[in-house]
Amino acid sequence: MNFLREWITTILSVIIFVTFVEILLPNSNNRKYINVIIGLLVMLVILKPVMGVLNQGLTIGDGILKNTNEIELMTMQNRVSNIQYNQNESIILIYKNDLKEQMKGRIEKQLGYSVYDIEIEIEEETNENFGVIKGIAIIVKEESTEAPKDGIQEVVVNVAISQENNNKINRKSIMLDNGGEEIKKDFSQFYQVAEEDIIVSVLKNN
Amino acid sequence: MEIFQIVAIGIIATVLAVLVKSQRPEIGIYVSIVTGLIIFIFVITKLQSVIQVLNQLANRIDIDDIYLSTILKIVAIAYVAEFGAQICKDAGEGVIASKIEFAGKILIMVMAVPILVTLMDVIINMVP
Repeated sequence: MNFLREWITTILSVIIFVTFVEILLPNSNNRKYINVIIGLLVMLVILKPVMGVLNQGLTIGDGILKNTNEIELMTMQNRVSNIQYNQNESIILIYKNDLKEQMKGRIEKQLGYSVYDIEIEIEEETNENFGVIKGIAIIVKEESTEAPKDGIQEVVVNVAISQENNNKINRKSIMLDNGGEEIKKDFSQFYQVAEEDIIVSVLKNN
Repeated sequence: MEIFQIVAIGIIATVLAVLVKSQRPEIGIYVSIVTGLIIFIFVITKLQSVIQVLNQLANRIDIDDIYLSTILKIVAIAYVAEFGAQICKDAGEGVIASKIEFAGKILIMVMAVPILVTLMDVIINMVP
């Protein structure tokens, strides 16, 4: 009898509490959702003794807590994986920018060309080759102050480059013969990239 | 009676906002946000004591804490979302307001999922 009394008082108090809460609710669209949840809770309260008879171990409060924790865990896992993805993206970006700066400095200081732009392609999948340079495209600016104009006139125009990268045509770029080889050799030694993966072109001033 | 104070604050703020709005509309929004916050804080301290009493009652009649806390959390989410959305609507940003309402809805639904799962468990256990 005591159990019945407890059950009825619980149901009554929950319903009184819910009526009180209904007054508090703001007049928004959320009202119907809140009503659904309150209905679910009242159902749980009514079913509680049945649950107690069926399995002694877990009470309803524990079940709700367990499920809440599971949802929190899933949310956290999703967040962490998103953060990791973003971090990888930014790591690759920083790495590429640093490489670009390093290459620019190397070309300008050691080889004496002025660099217009460098495009680097690296391995972005997280395997053992992560970060290995796959290809480099370097655009070197033509120095108008430097004398060797005739050197550039002798340049062999390589049509292959225009097939590989269309925007190079707009920039009126051509393969740099001697200097390009110099840069290619130096870079393939220093960065361990095959020479055919390095493309060097020069941007004409006119 | 606090209601007089609150209504006084509201009316003064409304007059101020209307006066200022013709000159500089952006300051009118500040006035309405600050007034909203003041009234909110004013009422929330009252509500806090009511909730404490309710908690004491709940302890006395051996009702699971999880029911009360879930319902109160849901009401709080609804209130805060409504508050933010109305300020945004006031400032003419209906799109942001609807996004806040949407977030509130989703958070309320997230609270509901564990209850739903537990209810399903109970019902499935009941069926032989």
